[in-house]
Amino acid sequence: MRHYELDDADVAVIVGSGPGGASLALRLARAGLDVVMLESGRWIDPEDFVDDERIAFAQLSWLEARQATGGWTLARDFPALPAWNGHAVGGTALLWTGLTPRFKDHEFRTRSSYGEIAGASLADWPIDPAELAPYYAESERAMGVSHREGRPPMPANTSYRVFANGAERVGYRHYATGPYATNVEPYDGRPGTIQDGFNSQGDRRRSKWTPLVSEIPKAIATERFELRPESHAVRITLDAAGRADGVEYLDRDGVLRRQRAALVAVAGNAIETPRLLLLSATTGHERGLGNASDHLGRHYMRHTTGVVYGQFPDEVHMYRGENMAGIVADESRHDPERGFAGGYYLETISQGLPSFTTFMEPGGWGADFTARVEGYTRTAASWICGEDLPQPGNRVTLSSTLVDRWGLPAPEVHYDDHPNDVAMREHAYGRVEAMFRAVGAERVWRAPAMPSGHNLGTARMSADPADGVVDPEGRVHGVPNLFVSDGSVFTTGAAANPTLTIMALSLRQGDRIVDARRRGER
Amino acid sequence: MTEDQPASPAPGATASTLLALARALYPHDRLPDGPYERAVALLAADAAASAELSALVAAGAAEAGAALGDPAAATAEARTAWLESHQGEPFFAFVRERICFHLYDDREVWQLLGYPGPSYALGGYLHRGFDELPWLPDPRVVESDEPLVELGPLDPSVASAASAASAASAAAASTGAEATA
Repeated sequence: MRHYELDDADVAVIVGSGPGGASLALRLARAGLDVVMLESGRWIDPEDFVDDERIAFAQLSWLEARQATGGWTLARDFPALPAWNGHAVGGTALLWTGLTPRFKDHEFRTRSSYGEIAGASLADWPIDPAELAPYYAESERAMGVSHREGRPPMPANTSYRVFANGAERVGYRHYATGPYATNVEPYDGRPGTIQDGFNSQGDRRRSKWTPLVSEIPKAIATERFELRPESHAVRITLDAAGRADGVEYLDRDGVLRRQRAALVAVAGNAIETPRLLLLSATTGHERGLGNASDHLGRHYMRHTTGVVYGQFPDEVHMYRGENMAGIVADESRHDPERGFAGGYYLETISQGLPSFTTFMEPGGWGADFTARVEGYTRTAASWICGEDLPQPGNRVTLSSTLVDRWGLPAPEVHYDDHPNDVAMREHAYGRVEAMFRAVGAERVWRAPAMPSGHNLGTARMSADPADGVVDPEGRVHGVPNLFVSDGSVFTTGAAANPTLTIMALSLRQGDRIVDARRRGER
Repeated sequence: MTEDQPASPAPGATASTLLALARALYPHDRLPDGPYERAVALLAADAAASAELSALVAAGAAEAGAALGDPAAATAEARTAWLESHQGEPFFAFVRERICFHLYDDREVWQLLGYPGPSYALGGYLHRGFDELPWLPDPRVVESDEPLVELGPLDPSVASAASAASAASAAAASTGAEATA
C-alpha cells in the first residue's frame, strides 16, 4: 500500500471507511488524487468474522460512551446505545443487511410535498433527483444489487415466504426479495451467498457488499491510497485563510498525530461526524465548523421503526438465510389519508436467539415472555422502516459529563418522536399484524425500536448557508475544502434504507471534487 | 457462553437465591438447572467487576432470601410476586438483564429451544432448508410489474383488502382473543 508522509500537504484526508467515505476514496484515487483514510476501528479480515451474535457484536460495534436522552424508547431500553454503528474498516456496512431502495422523487421535496407540519423542520433537498439517478444506477452496480440489470433476484427464504404470502393476502402488490446488496451468484470477484443467516456479523463469505471487500481493496490497488486503521480523528485544523489544512488523530498507541491535507472529507456517520465538527471549534468558528447558523447536530433522524413478531402453528426457522431479504413497498407512498405524512417500508428481519430475546420485548420477563421464547422456531418478524420527520430539537451534542476512552466529550443523542412518527408507527404495526394473521399467526406482538444503523441529518444539506451545514455538493458552508460524505447530509430521511443514497451522493461529490480540481480550483 | 465456561461462583446463600429468582424470571419447564446455574455464575462474575455491583447483588439477594424464607422452597407465585414488587429497582434491573443475557446465550438452551447457532461450517442453509416452508405457497420474488403508487391512496381494490384485513386484526385484538404484549 502507498504511504504518505504526515507533512504531505497535497493529500485528501477522508475520515471514516464506511460506504460514504470508501466510495469517495475510490472515486478520488481512481481520478489520480492522493488519499489518506483515517479509520478509528481496526482492520478485521473477513475470515476472522464470527457467526455468533454476541461475539460479533463485541467485535464489530462502536461501543464508546454515548448517551440517549429524550422521549424515545431507546432512552429507556438502551440508554448507552442510541445507535448501532460499526467500529472497524468498512464501518456500519459490516452490520447492515443489504436492502437498497432508492428515494422517490417527492422524498427529495418533502417541504413542497407534505406542506408545513408543526414542529417539523421539513425542507426540500437542494438537488435535482434526476441528477442523482445515474449515480443510483452506478451504486447498484458497485454493490452488485440483486434484481437489477439482469442480476438474479434473491431466492425466497422461510421468513420471506411468511411475509410475502401475508402481504399478498392483505392485498399488497409490491413485495419482493430485494433489491438486496448481497450476491446471489458470483459477482465482482465475490461468491454467492450460502444463506448462512449472519449478515450483521460481517459476513465471512464476502457475498454481502461492504467497503471492506470492495472499495477499500480497490482503492489500495490504485497505489493512490493509504488506509490508516486505529486512527481516531479528534480535530480538523484550519489555516489562516479559513481552509481545512489537516486532521489531528490519535493513533493506535494513543499518540496524537496530524496529517496535513489539501482537502478533508468527514464520513463518520451522523453521530461522529457532527461530534468531530463540534470538537473542531476554533476562532471564527466558535460553535464548531459549519455551525454558523446553528444547524450542526440538529435534525437528527433515525427512521420511524418498530418490529412486529408473529408466531405460527408451524415451523418458520427465521434464522435460516439472508436476514432482511424481503420488502413491501405499498405503504412507502405519501398518502395523507392514512393520517400522517410520508411513507414506510415493511421489511423482513430475522434474529438469532440472543437477539430475539434482547429485542422482542426489551425488559420483558416472566411466563408470558418465556412462552414466546419457547415458540422461537415458529416465529417470523417484520421491521418497519419509515420516514421520521426532522426536528431541530432532535440533536447530537457534546456531553458535559460523559467522556470516551480518549477523554473527549461523548455524544449525547436526544430524540423525541414527532406525532407524525407515532401515527405512522401505529399504522405500520397494524398492517404487519394483519399480514401475519392473514397467514395464520396464533399470536402477534409489537416491539419498540432497536438501536439504529440509520443515522441521518445532523449536517443537513441546504442551498442557503442559513438553512443547513453543507451545500448541495456536501461542502461545509464557510469552509470551502471541507466536505461531509455520509448520511449526516440528508436534508430529510425518506422511507428508504439509506446506504444506497449515501453511496450515490458520495460518487456525485467525488465527481464534483475532481471536476473542480481539473478546473484548477482548490 | 459454553457449558464449561469458568465463572466465579456466588456465595452459597446468594447463589441459591439468585438461582430461584432466575427460574422465576425466565421459567422454562424444559430447562434443567444447569443453564440457570451457569447464568447465575456469569452474573456473579459480572457483578464482581465492581464493588458497587457486588454490594447491590449481595444486598438484593439477602433481601429476597429474607422475604421468601428458603427461596428454593418458595412457590413460583411467591417468587414472581416478590420480583413484581421490586421491578424498577437497580437490583432487579441488573439481575433481569444479566440473566436474560446469559441464559439465552447458553448452548444447551439454544439446543433445547431449537436455535442451531453458526451454520457457516455446515455450508449455511443453501442446501439445508433456507427455503423450506411447506405450509404456504411459493411467493413471487421479483418486483411487481404494476406501477407503484407514490402519491395518494392505493387503488380502491387493494385498499379495501388491506383495510378489511386490518379491521379483522383490530377486532381480534380488541376481543382479547389473543394476548399481545
